[in-house]
Amino acid sequence: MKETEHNNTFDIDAVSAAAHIFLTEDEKAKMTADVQKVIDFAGTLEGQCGDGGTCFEERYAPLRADEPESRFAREDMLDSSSSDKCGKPYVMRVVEGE
Amino acid sequence: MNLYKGYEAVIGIEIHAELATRSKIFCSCPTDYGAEPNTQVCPVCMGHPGTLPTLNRRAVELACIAGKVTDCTINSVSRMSRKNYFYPDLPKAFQITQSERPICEDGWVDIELDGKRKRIGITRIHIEEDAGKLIHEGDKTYIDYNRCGLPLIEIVTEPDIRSADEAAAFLESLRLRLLFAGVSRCRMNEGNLRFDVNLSVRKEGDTALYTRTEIKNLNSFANVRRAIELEFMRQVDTLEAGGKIEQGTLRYDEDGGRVIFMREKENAHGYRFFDEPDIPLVRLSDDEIESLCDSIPKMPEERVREYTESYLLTREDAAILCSHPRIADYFESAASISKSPKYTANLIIGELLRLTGAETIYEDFPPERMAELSDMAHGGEINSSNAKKLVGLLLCKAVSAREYVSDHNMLLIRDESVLSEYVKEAIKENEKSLEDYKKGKVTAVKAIFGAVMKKSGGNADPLTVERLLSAELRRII
Amino acid sequence: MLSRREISAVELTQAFLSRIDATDTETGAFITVDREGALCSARESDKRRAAGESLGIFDGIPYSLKDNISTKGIETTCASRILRGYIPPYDATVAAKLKNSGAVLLGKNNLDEFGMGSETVNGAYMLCRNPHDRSRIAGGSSGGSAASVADGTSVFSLGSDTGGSVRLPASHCGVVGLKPTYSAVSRYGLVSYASSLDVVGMLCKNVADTRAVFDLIRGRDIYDQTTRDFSRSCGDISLKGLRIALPKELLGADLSDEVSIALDFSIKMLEAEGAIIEEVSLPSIKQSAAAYLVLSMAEASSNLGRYDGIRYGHRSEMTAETVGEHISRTRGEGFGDEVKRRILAGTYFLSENGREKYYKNALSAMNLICAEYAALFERFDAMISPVATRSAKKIGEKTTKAEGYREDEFTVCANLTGIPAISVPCPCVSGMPVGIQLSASHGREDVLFSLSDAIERGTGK
Repeated sequence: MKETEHNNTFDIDAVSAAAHIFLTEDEKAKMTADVQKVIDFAGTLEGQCGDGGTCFEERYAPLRADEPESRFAREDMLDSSSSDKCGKPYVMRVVEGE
Repeated sequence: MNLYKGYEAVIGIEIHAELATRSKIFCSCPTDYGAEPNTQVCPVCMGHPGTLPTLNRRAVELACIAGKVTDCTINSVSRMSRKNYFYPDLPKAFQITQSERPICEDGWVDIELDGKRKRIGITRIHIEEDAGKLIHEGDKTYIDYNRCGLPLIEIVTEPDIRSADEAAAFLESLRLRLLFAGVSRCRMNEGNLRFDVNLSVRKEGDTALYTRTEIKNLNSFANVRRAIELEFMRQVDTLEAGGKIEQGTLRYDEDGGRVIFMREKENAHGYRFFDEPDIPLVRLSDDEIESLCDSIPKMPEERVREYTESYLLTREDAAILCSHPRIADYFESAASISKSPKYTANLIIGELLRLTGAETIYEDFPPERMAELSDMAHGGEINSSNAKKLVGLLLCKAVSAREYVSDHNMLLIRDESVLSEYVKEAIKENEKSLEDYKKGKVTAVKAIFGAVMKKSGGNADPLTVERLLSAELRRII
Repeated sequence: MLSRREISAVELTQAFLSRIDATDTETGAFITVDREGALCSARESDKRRAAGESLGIFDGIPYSLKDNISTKGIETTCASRILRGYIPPYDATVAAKLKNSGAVLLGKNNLDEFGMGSETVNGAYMLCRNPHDRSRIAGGSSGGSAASVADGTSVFSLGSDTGGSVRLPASHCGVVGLKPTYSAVSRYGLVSYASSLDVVGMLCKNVADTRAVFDLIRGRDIYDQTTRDFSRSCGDISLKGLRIALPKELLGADLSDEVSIALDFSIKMLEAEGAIIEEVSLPSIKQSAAAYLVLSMAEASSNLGRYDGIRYGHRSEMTAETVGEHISRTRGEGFGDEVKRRILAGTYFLSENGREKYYKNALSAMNLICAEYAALFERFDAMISPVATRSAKKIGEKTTKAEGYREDEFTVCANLTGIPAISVPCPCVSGMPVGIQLSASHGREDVLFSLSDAIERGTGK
């Protein structure tokens, strides 16, 4: 994204392009104001969290440490019995004129 | 071509290898190649709202094995991540891959080139899913999602490679390892292996790394070779002309024989990696890693060494047998019950592999029959040309070699009284050759020899014939 | 549940359908009503019963699902234009479990678009009103689920809770709302908002129903790798000597009188049965709202990337030069403003510029909160707190942004830590219902049910 973003400001053009959301100029102005509020609030976290660690999985630890068998949900098998979930052909939609 | 105008190339390669699983990495769809478009898909690999990925155990195991055969450290805990970008062939708008903590790290593969050994470092191996395939037809684009969610590993090398030759030697060595270990089917024509080449150049003797370019999505060793040569020269020529190397992504244009800068995909904003919340940490216990290691078959290098040492095969012959694990296994099972493994190897290399390939070798010619045939020839029951002929005759037939030989009168004839008659007759019937021989044309004797063999129905023992024939000729002259 | 069998499943279903006809144009709790499907299931149920092959207590019971839970053959819109007309090819695991138990699906409940909101006024189709006072909100995002149970248009409803979306509407509508332990119930088929926080919850008339529904839908699912079995049964636990924490960060002057009264009432009820209430401090709660906001939006920006109009859902008819532009147009047209805001903010939080400062800090805060909670549950069996500062507000009534974030603090910690939490109705004092929140450590829904029973007994139900 652009250089200007480094101090807490939010470049709506860059972000809406990255998020693939088309916005009119009016929408951009409104979104910028709204999102900036969210970002400002998120900014209150800074310096407040110590070093809690940024390891995402830790919160699962109490749920899984004792359950080795749940590490893999699936063996390498075809699942034809469950046609609800697997193995059904879909008619694709076509993207025209890329 | 290691140097060009005083520059050397600094090359790293990323290899995408499709893992040899039956089902996809996050759902139970089949992985078969060549199905009708969009017939091997389900709500999960089509990214339907609410679906979740579930990791295929075998994919993890194969990735771990890949690490083992490239001397990597296996991380007993690794983690899946999301790589976010938009593209029509990517149904969830993110690819599940591994970023910060891959399953394997810090390995190497040794290569041998012109008698010199060299070590190519492996930075990491990680697990990820494949995307779909865009098919362009006129002004329309269709999407085949069958490939979505096929399990891949990405193997990333250190920038240790210096030339196209080294690259090719490394890739061949790696390919054989993956193939022998059963990690990947390694079928190039099915896109099982795909390569990205990172290349920069520097003056000979310089040790710094400079701006590199990436040539994406090469699908054969030949293309890797050619792309490296082209890009190496392009960069050197650019620098020599006073230009600068721009970082960027290139595509190898096979028809045009050139590399072309690609339009950047719309991911200039970064991939916004973060930990995949739907898949727990990938854990492998030491016991599991150990038992996986035990399951790894012998690697080709080791087998080549064994064949040359134990069976006294030439390196070249041993390498041919080790071009595919099924062929090597086939040879080993035939050799283990045959009296002359070397003779068996010759029959396999010289005859059988001309007629069949790795896929069907067992069905086409069971190893027990190969050993039987080899032993009959080696033990003097049939002659060697009949042995060769029999490989073709017995192919795909449900009959033992011994039975076939006796049914078709192919047993070796050694009876000297019989053979002496044949020799005399043959000399009589080949007067011209006899005259030539008398004039000093030594090769003329071959025609007479051939005539004797023909009289015997091809079954004469050539050594006996040779002895009798030369005795008879000496007697006449 | 309904073990009495004085009427047939078809009659019961018809009664609920009539009730929907009579009230739901006002309430707006349903986006889709599947009349024929419901009657067909009810007929099947009656046949089974006649043949003595009843599938159990759920056989023939009419219920509904929040419209972000995938139902095979029934439109699942997430109250979003982008999924208008989308008919899933598969059932969510929870929907399949209910189907297999013979329950009768009446239809799909209204919500804030993709579950993003706390009022159920953000949907693309209609807003949802509180059955106790239709000038007020039902709360959200599972507002349609809560309103339908309160309105008598379904016996129970499954919702989803990412930051309070089951508990808040339960409190506002006067029903019981359980957010189970993260990973206790399969999320397969729940349309993802923030995967690490989302959980399927339930809204029911009373605690006994809640317990029964939870028992039915929980458990390990091979289609959701994050699920696990918690072996504990949901039996009764004596309250005598149970230690219950009351975090002072969730008290304070901004609590409305009705909430304070409800809290005092609940504490009295629990103490009467021998529980010990003790005020504690959990300072990291102050970071919870911001951490929740960053993490949920970041994950949402990734989870909602799949709505590109290529395989299903809304597709822009504007001409576009590139596929990228086509996707942007589709998403620009298909998403509502709140969803756009969250995707944009989330995209920024994960970008190179935002991740260190916001995303990593939020993870760090989450881990701090988890650690504080883990320490708390070493010493305590449960926690009691308000669900919100007040009862349901008027539709259109403004709240300041700061108030909005403060409201989040009451509920989001259960999502950040993964612990179970329940909202139980207390006696009405102002005419509008107010619930009280109980939470416990991972897998201890049994504690919550026992405490909730005590409060429910106190309200005289």
